[in-house]
Amino acid sequence: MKGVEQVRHRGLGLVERQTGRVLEFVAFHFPSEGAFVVGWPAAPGAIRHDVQGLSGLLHFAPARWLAPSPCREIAALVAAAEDAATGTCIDVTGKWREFALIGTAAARVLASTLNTEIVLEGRECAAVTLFDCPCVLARVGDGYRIWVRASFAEDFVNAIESLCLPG
Amino acid sequence: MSAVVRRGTRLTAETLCFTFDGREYHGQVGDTAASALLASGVRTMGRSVKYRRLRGVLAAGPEEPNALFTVGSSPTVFPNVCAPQLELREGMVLRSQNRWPSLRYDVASLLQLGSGFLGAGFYYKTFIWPSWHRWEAPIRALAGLGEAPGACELPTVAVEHFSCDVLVAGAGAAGLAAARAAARAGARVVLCEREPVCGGELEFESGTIEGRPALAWIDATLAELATLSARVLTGTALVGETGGEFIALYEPGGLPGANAVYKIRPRAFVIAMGATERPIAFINNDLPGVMLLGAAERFLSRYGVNAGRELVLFANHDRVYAAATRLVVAGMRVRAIVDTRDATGLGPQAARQRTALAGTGTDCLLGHAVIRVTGRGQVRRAVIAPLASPAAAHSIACDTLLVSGGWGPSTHAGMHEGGVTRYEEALGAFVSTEQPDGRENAGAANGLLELSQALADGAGAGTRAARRAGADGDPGTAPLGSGDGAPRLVPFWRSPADRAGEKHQFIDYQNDVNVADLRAALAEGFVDIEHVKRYTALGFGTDQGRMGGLLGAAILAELRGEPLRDVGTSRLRPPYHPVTMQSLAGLRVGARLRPMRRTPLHEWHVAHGGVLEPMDLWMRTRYYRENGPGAYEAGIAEAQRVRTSGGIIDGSTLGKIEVAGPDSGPFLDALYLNKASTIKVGRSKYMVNLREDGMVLDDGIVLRIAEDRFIATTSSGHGAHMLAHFEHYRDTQWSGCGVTVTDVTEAWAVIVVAGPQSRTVLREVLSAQWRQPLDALTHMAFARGTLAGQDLTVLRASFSGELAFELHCRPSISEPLWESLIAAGFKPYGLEALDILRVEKGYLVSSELNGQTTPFDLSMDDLVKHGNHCIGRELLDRPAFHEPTRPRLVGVRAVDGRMAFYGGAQLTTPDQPHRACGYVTSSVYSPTLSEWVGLALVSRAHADGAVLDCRDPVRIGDCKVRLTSIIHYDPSGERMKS
Repeated sequence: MKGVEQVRHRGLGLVERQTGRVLEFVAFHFPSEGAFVVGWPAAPGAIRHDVQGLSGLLHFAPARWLAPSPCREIAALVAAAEDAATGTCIDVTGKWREFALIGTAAARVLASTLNTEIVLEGRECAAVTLFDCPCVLARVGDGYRIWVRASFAEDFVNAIESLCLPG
Repeated sequence: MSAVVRRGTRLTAETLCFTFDGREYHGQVGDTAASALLASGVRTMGRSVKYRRLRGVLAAGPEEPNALFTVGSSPTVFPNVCAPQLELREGMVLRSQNRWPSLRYDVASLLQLGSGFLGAGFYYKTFIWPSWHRWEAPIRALAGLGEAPGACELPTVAVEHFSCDVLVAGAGAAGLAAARAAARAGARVVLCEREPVCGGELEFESGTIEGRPALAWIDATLAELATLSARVLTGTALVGETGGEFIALYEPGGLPGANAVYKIRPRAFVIAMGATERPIAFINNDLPGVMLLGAAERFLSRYGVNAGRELVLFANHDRVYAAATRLVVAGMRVRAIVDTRDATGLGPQAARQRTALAGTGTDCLLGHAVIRVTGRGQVRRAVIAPLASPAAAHSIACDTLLVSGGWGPSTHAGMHEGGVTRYEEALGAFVSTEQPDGRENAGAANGLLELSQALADGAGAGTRAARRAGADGDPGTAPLGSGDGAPRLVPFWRSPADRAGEKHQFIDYQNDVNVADLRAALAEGFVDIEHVKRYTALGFGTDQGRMGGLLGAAILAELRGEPLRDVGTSRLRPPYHPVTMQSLAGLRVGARLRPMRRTPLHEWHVAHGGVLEPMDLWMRTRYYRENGPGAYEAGIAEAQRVRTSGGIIDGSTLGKIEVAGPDSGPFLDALYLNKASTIKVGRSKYMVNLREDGMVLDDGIVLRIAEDRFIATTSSGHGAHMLAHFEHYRDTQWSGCGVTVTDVTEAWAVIVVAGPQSRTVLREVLSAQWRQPLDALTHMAFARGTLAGQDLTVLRASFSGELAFELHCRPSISEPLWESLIAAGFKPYGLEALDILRVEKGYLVSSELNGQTTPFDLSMDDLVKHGNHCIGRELLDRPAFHEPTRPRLVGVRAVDGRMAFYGGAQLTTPDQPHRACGYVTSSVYSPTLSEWVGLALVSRAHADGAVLDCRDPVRIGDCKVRLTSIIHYDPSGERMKS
């Protein structure tokens, strides 16, 4: 896992991933089925994965998509949607910090603040509040990918650390 | 010390030592505080709250009202810990409560002498003269349960959210049967049991299930549940529900300050929380030595403790004979069984047991009642009389009276969510008839007290719950069992007593509510059970009405002359089990009490002596230590430096909302008092929002970055509120239009460069490509470009009154940019200096935007005049907003030029010294003007130049101030526009 390791504890790892440009796309209308190009993750909570299988375009809240470090394909998809006047694309680089929460204890740590099972039931990602920090949460394999609002990110890391104290 | 090693289902032979009220006692591992003290011969374990009557242990579960201890040593103490639930640990320190100086000799017990005058509601009437405050201190000293912990460090409570298909609360016979059926059907099951072991009544009832002893069946069932991946949470009490999420507390050893809080979201819920045995009211039914029959059986089976040596049993059902048989077998002498029913009420099994007991010398009395018990601090005799002729009483010597008035099903869970009950005459209790979707009662909680019925009911409920959750496997057959027969109960609530005796027939032990109190409440006109509850404090204690709730309702019904079904019980609400504040706080303790937002430059500020303080959730620098020993001195030095050369401040906390789309201009026109749609691309404007009622909501600068794109800045503390305001109107009145709203606060770090040399420094710091744009920037214009490959916007705007630029950059380059400005000679300043600069210039600080000021009050008449019909604009024409009593924003200065005055000081006129005509909103010492200057909101009747008294008697004293223009410094704005 590339990135800066923030927390390493028994069965748990929190790694910050370096992100490049980050876009948010916001639709004028919602629900907006049929208004988007083929391959657009229109269903709430859907993710359009990029060619590398990473999270490419996340429908994380109603009418709102997140494109962290978009590859050319995703960027083109977003640009096409904007050109079609279905919404606007906002460059929010710096707004989110991306973390990977991995390990066997990852689910238990998140369970301290949220019932992820319910929240992610039938969807791949969601806008949530973890440890009082606004986040976008996506399940990736046995772990999670979490985008935390940058001003809350230190608090988020501290919260995870506090749960890893001995005992 | 107990000389004999006791045997019980929960005990080991290993001994341990503890203290109670400073005296050392010994118990066995597995003992509770109550069982070990009972085994040591201690019968008195507390005093009541109101009359300070001596009390002994009454129950064996969380419904225990008397034996509440304080555990630990100050400051780390846990008050009101239920002794029958508290598992002993080596060295544990226990103290009784509600007594001084000791349990045996309590000064406040003298209140008993005046008990005739201290009935329910006496304090409402008595202590209003001459003033409640005269009485408050001594009453508060006497009131309350236990001692609150001091300032102590408690471990953080673990929290776990999880889901399951079926949640079963209670692991007695019905609960286990329900869990097994649901798990066999393929449901993911969570079984929650407040006791440290499963089994419930099966722990002491002599029953067999599926052909084997009940205890063996429990073990086999738990083993099967483990193989079916069911999660069994013992020592975990369900305390409440909110919105389909159930809260359970894991309290190992019964000690509050839970180690874990579970938040469980099941698809289906089975309430198998059993039933609570209830007492019967008779005179002195609170005397130590009076205990519930079921409690005595629990203490015997679990801990090998005999409730007493010479027993009298008092009940209204068949189960008393089975229980008496077990007690006799255990070696206790049952002197008499007092059954309120006549012979026709007896079932065949009970009749056989009665005959056998009579043969052992037990006096079995039918149609009798215990009228009173007597003894000094301990039961010595029971006075018994035939119900047909109460005067023909006789007494029997005994040291313990075991009482059982039946059982009340635990219907708590779900009642506040819309559950409905009906009165069941055969039980003398209310049972659930309707439950909200996805839940149902089972077993004793459903009013089924006979083992085979409870098992079948539990299995049926578990199967239905599994089906509801989508599991369609085979639940197997319901377990068959046989145990104690049906109780064949005939409701009986209180023994005969005269009016004087009613004062000693206790219903709610914790709050000393007696029958006379209910009678008094009725006499006062409190008829409804909910009103009676509040007037008398019936059911207010830690037992949450389990002990006295139904009994009180029944006696109230008798006093009202109405059937109990018509009187009902008070609404059962969570928590069903006492919850500590620590558990409620969960992870939100200490530094995690609330989140803290940090700017990209936060670490720099901390590393360079910045003194930070919270503003909303943000942490902002008040001042830098190198500039002075405190905020006052440092703020002055930093402000002076900005005025003479310049400085930089971290403005990243400013809220920033990107509004985009073809309709973004008209949308902003609707939200702001002045027009956004007329702003040219590359220009910005100072804008003001109104609330719907016309009051000023916020102010900020709006930048037009493209034809269809704006960035609206908000004040730091209002960012979240303003975003919600924008989104509300976007999603309601502007739904479907071509406009979007996105929070970009963190996407842009903001560094404000202010001071006469700011342009020079920026020319030096920014790359050559920025020189021409910098020189060309006029006031409120901005330029966009890049720096080090990252986006940068330079806006010429000032909140200091000096030439100033706001650098809006991506966070990744904020620190290098900040460092390069420092290297160029500009030093940072904090909020203290910013406030000085703003007040000198007459800019709003924050207290002027208090939700009660209109644009007219804030001297923004021109904005209104040239503004558009935005939200709130219509209401600005209300006549009340133009009355002379409305405030207006003015400048204030001390008349003698030296006196200080603070924000919040009241302004009065000499002819009305006790009626404020305004107040100071902000004040600072101006190093530029060498005097205190401020802003104030003052009645419009007072013109500039008027002299008012500035009153601040607590903080600094009074002085005289003169009203001035709000702009104290550079009124023409030459410096800012230079």
